[in-house]
Amino acid sequence: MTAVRFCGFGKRYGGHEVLSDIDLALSARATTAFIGRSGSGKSTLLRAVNGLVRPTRGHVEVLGEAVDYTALPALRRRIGYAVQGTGLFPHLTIEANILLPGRLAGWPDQRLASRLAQLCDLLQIDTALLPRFPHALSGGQQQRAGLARAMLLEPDLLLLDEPFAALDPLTRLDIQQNLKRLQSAEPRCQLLVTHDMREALRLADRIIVLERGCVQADAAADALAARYPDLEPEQLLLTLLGDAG
Amino acid sequence: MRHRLRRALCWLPVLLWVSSAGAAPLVVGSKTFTESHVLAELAAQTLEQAGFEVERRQGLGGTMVLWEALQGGDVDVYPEYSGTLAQTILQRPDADEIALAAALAERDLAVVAELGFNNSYAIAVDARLAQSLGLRAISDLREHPELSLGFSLEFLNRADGWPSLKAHYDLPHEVTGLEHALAYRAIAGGSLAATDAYTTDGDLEDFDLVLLEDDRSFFPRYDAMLIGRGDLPDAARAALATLVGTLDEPTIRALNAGAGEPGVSPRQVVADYLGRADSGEPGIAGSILRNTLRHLKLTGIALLLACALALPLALYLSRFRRAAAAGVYLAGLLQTIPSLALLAMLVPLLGLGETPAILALFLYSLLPIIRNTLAGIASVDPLLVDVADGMGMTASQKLRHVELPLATPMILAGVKTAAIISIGTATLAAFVGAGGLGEPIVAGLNLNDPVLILQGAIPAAVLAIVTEFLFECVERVVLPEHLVRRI
Repeated sequence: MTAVRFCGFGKRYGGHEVLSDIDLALSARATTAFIGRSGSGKSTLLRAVNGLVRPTRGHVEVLGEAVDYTALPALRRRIGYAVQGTGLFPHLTIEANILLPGRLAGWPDQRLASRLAQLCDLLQIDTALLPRFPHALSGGQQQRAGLARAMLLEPDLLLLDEPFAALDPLTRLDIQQNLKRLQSAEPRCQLLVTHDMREALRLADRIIVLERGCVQADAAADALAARYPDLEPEQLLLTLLGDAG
Repeated sequence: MRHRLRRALCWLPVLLWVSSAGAAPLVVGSKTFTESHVLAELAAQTLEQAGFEVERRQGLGGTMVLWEALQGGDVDVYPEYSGTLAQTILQRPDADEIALAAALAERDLAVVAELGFNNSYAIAVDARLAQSLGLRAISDLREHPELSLGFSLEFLNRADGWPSLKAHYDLPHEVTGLEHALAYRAIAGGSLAATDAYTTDGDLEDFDLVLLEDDRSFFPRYDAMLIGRGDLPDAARAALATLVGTLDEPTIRALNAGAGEPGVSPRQVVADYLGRADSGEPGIAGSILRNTLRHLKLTGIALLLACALALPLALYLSRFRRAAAAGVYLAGLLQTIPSLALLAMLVPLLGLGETPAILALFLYSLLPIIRNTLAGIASVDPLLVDVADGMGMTASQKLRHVELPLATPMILAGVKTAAIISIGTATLAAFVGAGGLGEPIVAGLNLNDPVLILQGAIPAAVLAIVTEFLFECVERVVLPEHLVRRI
């Protein structure tokens, strides 16, 4: 089943074409990684899914329907969104941050409490941290809280915009494993933007390489690993980009 | 602690309103110099003795302010001089007594009492300077163009003031304008040689000043009188008529000198003169409290109104960059109008009293609130706005849960700035008869009484400090500790 479809999608900022002629279908229960250099258009593509970016050409279908730009809040409540630097609100405690989407959606307290407990368990969030404010937490703890907030409403779709880029390698590995656990417990369409091939291979089922606003390579992660068994992930990415000539 | 603070804040508006209650008393006004205060006080206490309730608006302003106030009904009685009436107000220098009475009657006004003395304008110089230069008459000044002359702003601009005097005596001097009460001190300090004075001025002796003879008979007669509205109650008119011809020049000079003593009010001096045991004057503590409450009322109402307009307006404008810039520009333009000029412009439109003062304070409070609210919203991290959008927040949810809380420190700082500016500016409200802590400052300046000035200046400073402290408390109550701005 397809969760997201880009149909002839193009985006222009001023005179500059950021993305052109993107046609992709992304399946509902798989993790897809978008990888490429800075400025390749990968974040723009991700942000088109929840309507933060509107197409200049073509259109986007999400969960079976073309995006309705007059009813974005309703669509966005079905899409989890986690960003680099966590995006936690500094004036709210960790608990209030995680629960905010649920409160806005009118969830009853009991449902909020049980979902919170479940997410803390899956993402290994120490409940003693819940009454604290974000600035008092380490980067890894903040990132877990950011993920928990994105997952709170049990979204059909999870957008991850380089969420782990600022973390140290060990913490990053830890959270990547948390995310894998989450995906096997609650499988959903995950779209991950990253510039780290190692991360893409570890988390994704499908890897899409973007270069100058176009799809440069599109392959199953398993197939890539099988085809280039001897290459380091970084070399593999260079090879995929280099194939472009 | 939070609850107690909130409860206390709830009572504040009630407290502010309490001081405004009361019936409509007779209003007695005066100009900004000692003798005018004394004569107004004489009228006020005479009316009180006759059983009337009286409101004093001492030191309201210059001649035209009082004249407009009398015509507009903001003042019922005030002391005036025949020369001023003929030359400056009615601009009929040759009119006799009957013609003046007729001119007043046309405007439904009347002379209610001629008091019996002539207080002419005169030119005062330092006694030692006069002796060393041999200055005896105004003509002698012509030989000394190097002398610096400074005149009260009113004298500089009167038809019978400096321009005519200069022409009449052919004087070569360039002059400066300054507050009359400061001119004597400037002469004592040596920075000024001569200024305008009144022949009955009680301060002449204290400052060791002598009057130059008007050897070319320039100054007309300035017979002191009370003028009042035609609709004054007959009993009030009769009471004031008992003052006709009761003051000669030595008497008024003694009263003026008494009222000029530091720590002595015209009210006490007049009560002694009238043989009243009690002047009915509130004690220092009482008058400070009354003025402080009035001050709080003026600034409090202005600030609440400014918040009620500026906050929603700025939040709305923050959506449109150009409109926001225009809003800040307009509010900034208002801020550049000098406060006294703004008050003076509002008086013809709104009359005297609290309304123009509150409106002026309200206008001055807009800029800091609008500017800080816009800056606060603009300073919210774009990533957080992005996340709020991505989370599916509507515009109003985003405002309430993200933008407003994060902009709160800046917004509070803006409101605090507005409050403190208002507390300072509200001392000027006394010039339009709105009372407050400016009242003792203006009166003290007019009466040359530093003690009186401090009775306004110190509470105003304390009020500003307390306000600063209160806002810090509010910040601590409404913001998490790590978001409280530390300066």
